[in-house]
Amino acid sequence: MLIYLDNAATTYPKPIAVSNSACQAVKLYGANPGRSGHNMSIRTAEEIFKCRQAIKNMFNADSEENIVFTLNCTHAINTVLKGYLKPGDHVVISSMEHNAVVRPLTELAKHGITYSVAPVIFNDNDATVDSFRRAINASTRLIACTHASNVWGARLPVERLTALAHQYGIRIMVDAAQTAGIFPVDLQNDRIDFLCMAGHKGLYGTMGTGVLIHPAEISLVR
Amino acid sequence: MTKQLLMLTSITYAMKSKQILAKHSISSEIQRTPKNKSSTGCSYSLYIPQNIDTAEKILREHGIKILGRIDKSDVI
Repeated sequence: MLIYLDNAATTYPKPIAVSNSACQAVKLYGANPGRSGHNMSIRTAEEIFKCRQAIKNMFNADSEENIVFTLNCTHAINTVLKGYLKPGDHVVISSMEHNAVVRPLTELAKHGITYSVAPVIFNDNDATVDSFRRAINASTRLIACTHASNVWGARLPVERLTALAHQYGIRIMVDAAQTAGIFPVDLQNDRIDFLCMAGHKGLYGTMGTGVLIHPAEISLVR
Repeated sequence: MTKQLLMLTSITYAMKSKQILAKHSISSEIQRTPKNKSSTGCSYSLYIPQNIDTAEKILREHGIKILGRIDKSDVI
């Protein structure tokens, strides 16, 4: 009997509906959407649009068109960091960040983007929020933080960090790799600016999928 | 009367528009915008057999960007 314990990496087993849907797409209508006008292309585009709507409803996003399908959560995070930040900008991250956040920022530091690490104080959200506040400076443009750490299992008070960010006119990116599909996120209530997630963990999708939801008024295209 | 289509920017907006119009009991069909009519290369149009003026008004009210109109005869 198999006992699988690596769900933080990717969930297993996937629900039968997931494998059936993927199989159906490949077998019945898997044409390229958004380019052609034939029936299979339109059918595929319809299924993608339904997926956008499901994501919009699940996370209470503003609209379907601000949902970006990425390869995974790392891809979503890279898209935000490299699309939103410019030389001279400063970012505040937590001491619990995944390499998906730290490595691109380390690389971006070579191009004039700086970052500070706010220590997370376990079981003391007040102290944690305060450490973020102390890390903010005049050039801070983004707070980038995990919703919950795959290493520690600790959850950051992202609602409070979002309020803090907005108080200073700063945007916030939340890495929801471990929490999407597990903890509820309501974008209109929580007001998180950029939400990055993996499709293949708590959302039980296939590997090679991720989602980024971003504000309508921000373009991440350079 | 010439049958016309509303040109939209992408398949996503075409899908969204079709749904919006359906809620207003206006039927529509998504078609690929001919390359010679599209400045972006990958755009889609909505064929609206009836009430196209009303449909356009509804879509604009919903914030859908409409690039213009083309004749159905231009679509293969």
